[in-house]
Amino acid sequence: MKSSFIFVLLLLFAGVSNAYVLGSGKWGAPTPGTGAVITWSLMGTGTSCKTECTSDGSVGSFTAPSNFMPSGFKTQLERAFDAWSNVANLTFIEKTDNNEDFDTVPSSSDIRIGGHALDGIGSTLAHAFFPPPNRVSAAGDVHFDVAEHWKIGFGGSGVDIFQVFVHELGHALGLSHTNVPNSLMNSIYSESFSGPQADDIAGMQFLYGTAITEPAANPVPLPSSLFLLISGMISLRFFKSKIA
Amino acid sequence: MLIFAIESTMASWAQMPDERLQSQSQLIVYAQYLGDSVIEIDNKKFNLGILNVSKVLKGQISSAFVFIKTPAPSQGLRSDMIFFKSGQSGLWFLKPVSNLKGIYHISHPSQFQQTTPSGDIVKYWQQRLLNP
Repeated sequence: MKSSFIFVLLLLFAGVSNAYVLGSGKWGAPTPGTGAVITWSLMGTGTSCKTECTSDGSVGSFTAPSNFMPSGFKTQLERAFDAWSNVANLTFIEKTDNNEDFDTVPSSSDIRIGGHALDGIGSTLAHAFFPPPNRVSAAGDVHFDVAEHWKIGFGGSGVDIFQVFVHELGHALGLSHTNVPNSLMNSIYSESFSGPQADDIAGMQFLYGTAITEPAANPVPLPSSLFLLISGMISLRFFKSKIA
Repeated sequence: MLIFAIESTMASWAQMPDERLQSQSQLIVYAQYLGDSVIEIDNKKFNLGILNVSKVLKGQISSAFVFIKTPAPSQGLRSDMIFFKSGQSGLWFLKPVSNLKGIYHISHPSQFQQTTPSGDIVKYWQQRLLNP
């Protein structure tokens, strides 16, 4: 009776929750499970967003994150890159942004980060473009809503830079939404957990493989060549005297 | 009130309180999504989705069909685009598009809540709108 009740519960749980959902495309080789090296940059204020950031079809411009986020924001962005590269075979390299127009080639980097007005405070916090192929060079770009109250850490009003960016980065790398509760790739912002969760990690590892971990620094100490020479000479002398 | 997020939506959204959802919605209707089509207005092309309305909870409509602005494929795939599938039925909380008269848009997953015409969500909103 008890086991059948648990079975029904498990069935119900399976019915309401999905595993990770893949978006469109990936960086690097198209084969799932292969790693990628991805560059990123921070766009400067005044960089043209063409008509991407306006609703009336006029030409607009981006605002640099340093102009609407608190100091220390860059560390939060870097934490988000680390959160994904610690679990999947991803390498992120920062580049200097040359402030060329949005969605043009050549582009300063793969993932260009900036801000513009989205829809006022609340509702949409940020958006990201899926990996290539996606428009000209917009793929991977992440735009924050300049109207939000950006904060570092949980609690109080506002939205945490790390939590939003690591979610958007999930999209920029190829993950879509999941219905799995308490999952980073759930669509609604939450402060009940931080960063990628088990289902998110599984999705990213499917796309890029597991992280290539550096071997621990000298886990087994190697003898120095001088030590090897001395011990070899002692052994030789010992055996020589035995034979004699 | 639960947020019934649509599977094909992808972005980072803040929770939408019911008060805000109610106040920002010019129209609240029970409708079915019929499909979308490209329409040219003032020499500009727009992707418009068509809703077949069967019940109006808030606002007024002149026809059973209401148009919503939907993402155009030429815009590329961006995480805050919300797509719908033909046949999806439920409550729609519609905001007007500022420069397109008679056209609405969906910019938050809570603006569409999948349900049946007599579902609990419909009853909740009917009650809520009667007793604001």
